[in-house]
Amino acid sequence: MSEISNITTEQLRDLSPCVLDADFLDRLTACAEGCIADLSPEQLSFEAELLRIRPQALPSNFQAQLLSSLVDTPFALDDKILLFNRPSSAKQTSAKRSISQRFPLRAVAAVAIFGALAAFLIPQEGTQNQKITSQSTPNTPSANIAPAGISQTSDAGVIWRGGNQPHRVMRRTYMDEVISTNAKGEAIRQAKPHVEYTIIPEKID
Amino acid sequence: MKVTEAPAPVSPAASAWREWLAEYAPRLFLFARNQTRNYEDAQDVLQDAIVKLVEKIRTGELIGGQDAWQPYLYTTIRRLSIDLYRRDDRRRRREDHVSADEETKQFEAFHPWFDQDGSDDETRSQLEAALQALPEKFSEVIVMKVWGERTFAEIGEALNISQNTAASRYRYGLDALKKELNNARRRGDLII
Repeated sequence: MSEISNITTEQLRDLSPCVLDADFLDRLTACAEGCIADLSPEQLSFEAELLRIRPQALPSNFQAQLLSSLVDTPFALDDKILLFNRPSSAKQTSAKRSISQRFPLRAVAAVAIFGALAAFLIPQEGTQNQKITSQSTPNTPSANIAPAGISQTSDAGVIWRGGNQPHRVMRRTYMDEVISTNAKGEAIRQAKPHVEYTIIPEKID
Repeated sequence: MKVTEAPAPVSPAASAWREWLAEYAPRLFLFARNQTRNYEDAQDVLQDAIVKLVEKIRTGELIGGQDAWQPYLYTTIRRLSIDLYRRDDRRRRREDHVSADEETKQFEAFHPWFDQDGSDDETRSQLEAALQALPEKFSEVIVMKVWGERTFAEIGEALNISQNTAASRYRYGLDALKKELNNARRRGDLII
């Protein structure tokens, strides 16, 4: 300790830092030359040998466990395209569905009812002239409804029912023929539309 | 008015996730095993990392789509492994216990790091032993580069080092690993 404390500045100047070891010097040289990531032919050959050996596959139960963590998560094909999952069956059958989950279905139902009423009440050109024989209101509750084919199909857009699952709503309008009799016993034919909505799990880009 | 629900088709995302896991999860699990040096801890760490990835995807915090998943997972696996070691001193006590340590070794022997295809059992076990014998700063870079197929920039990001440091550790690590395997070959333990 006393020797170190007595050392002179000249003696300090006479000391030289250790020479770098060859590996470290190579590394610094490679950095300076910008080729630090370049491998020698021997290293490349060894790397190729290592690449032939593949990591062990996951045990199937562990992979299933991981998959269950991911099952409700959209899968991004790239920045813009997502693949969505349908909700798990447990969620679908759950009695405790939130209002936000139930709301879209109720909205569709409400729109359908309004649509059906509007179509029934608003006179339509052509159809009514051809199919309705009398404008008098039937007073009998007994009426036969003859189902007709689909008169119109349209895409009502996409709804979200929770669980990151979008559904496409298809609106189908059917034109039924209602046959009834009035007080005079006359047959009255009316064209009556009814609307059905079908929701289909949708793949969204 | 009648609302009917058409039968749901097979989910495209579920099969996509399954394929993604089959391709990348073994590499991630290898990295987790390299980080934790314990089979069960590695499973916990990988699962926690996947759960964190799911949260990031759902909240839209992860920018870059699928390309961002692996860099995020490697970083998260490393961080979780460090956290695990910091808080879990039971491991140290267990490793001091010789019989328990032997049990761990036997358990690990039944769960090799590498697949049987492309190499014989001796090669795999020697490679595994050589990787475990390497200083972790080398082995983690080798695992990420060779089997994780990460770039030096990504490795640097995950390990919080510069990409030049990652590249030089890789070179050093390859040389050290080759030396160890050559020694094993000279001893007659390895046929490559």
